[in-house]
Amino acid sequence: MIYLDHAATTKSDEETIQVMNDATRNFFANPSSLHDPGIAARKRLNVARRNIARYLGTEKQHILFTGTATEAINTVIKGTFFKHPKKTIITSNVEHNATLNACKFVKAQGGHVITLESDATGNMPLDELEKVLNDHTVSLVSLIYANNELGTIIDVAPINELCKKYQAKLHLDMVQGPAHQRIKLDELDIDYASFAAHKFYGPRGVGILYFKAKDTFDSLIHGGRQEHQKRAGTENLAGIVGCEHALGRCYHNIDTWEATIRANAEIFLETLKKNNIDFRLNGPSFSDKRLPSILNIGFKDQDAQIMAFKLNEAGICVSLGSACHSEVIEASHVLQGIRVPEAYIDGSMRLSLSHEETKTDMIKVANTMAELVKSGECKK
Amino acid sequence: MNKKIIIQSDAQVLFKGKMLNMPVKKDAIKEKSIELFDDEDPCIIHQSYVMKQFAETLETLFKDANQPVIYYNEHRDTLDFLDIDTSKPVEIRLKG
Repeated sequence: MIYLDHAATTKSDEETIQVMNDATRNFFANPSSLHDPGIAARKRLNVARRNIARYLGTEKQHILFTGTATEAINTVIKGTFFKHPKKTIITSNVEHNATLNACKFVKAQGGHVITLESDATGNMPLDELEKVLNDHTVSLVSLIYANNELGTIIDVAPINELCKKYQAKLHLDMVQGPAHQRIKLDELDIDYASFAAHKFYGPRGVGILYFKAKDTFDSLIHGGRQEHQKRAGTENLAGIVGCEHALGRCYHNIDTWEATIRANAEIFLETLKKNNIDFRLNGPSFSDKRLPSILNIGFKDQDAQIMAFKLNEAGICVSLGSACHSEVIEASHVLQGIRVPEAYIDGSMRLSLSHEETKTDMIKVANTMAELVKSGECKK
Repeated sequence: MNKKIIIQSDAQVLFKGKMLNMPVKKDAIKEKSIELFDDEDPCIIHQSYVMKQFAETLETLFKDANQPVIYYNEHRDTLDFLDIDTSKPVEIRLKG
């Protein structure tokens, strides 16, 4: 099997699984309990928090564990709205649904949200952002750092500069980041960032919310005093320890891994070109600022759903960005948002690579796709 | 799977169109969905995946037959998912 859906979920290595099993066994107690096993669990939690903070370029007092990145994103957006209900929240039309639907909730509660349109590469025009920041009292700007469908990496510095100029907080959905880049949160000097362990070879069920100051947002979950009194509930220690281990692996191996991914992505695109079929790389060009791991390919006049089905039969796992809206399947809102031409949008699919594929794998994938196009089997 | 077929019975056309749009019993979709996803109420995306499975089954029958026509009676068990009147002999013909 050639698994090219790492932007959806990555596979933990055996060592990470073992580390989690050991933590389940050895740190079974509640980290809030004041007896020896509880204290041991608390200590292990603190070590994990400190290491995770270090790997993300910050300090432990800024790290809050959640159940998912979706929860982290919801916490920032709704928590900001609850704190500043009269102020405006800005986002873009190429965000993950976690952001878009949290904003939809805010709107339904009477909040004011402005969704800016991105350009064809998935970047937000700065002049548009500045205009909105200038015209409204904005509490939060929430943007996706590395787009999960396109691979676009936004230029944080000028956006952050604008946010500071207009005293708006900046939240980045950085879910796709840590598996591919060393994140330096303190250097970025943003206000919030969200992460998910399962996107960087850790377990599902662990999200991370980075926050600069804890008095800028309200909690969503109330109960005990866990997580800086910002997110109640007994901590998922085994998951957090797995997250720590997985993030450490990324941190230490990222340069080698990224070189492999870039080379594999290049050979994939070259092989596809050699086959003389009509396709486009949706979003930023390969030389733009982007994650080389995410390739959104649109095949002209093809049905990507059929192609993905056939690829699966050939042992190749890819992803479609489509979503179900009641009784129809619609093309991804991100592809619609960047205005992918009609002839290509239904034939678009996402490949998300890891360091584990070989060049041979990627040549095979490109040739299999080309064969499917040439055979007419997937024609719309 | 996007190929066009004609399902005929006694010179009467029961269905004409893409394989993926062929008439499939609601119960068959539900059964297949339970088999694949353990879900008796699949969303439209999962339903469409199930339809592709049925279309794939039909494609395979054509490939194995090595001819553009197959007869329902010869594959009654395999094609039981089709929502058509089978009281008379039915033939399924590949178009184009």
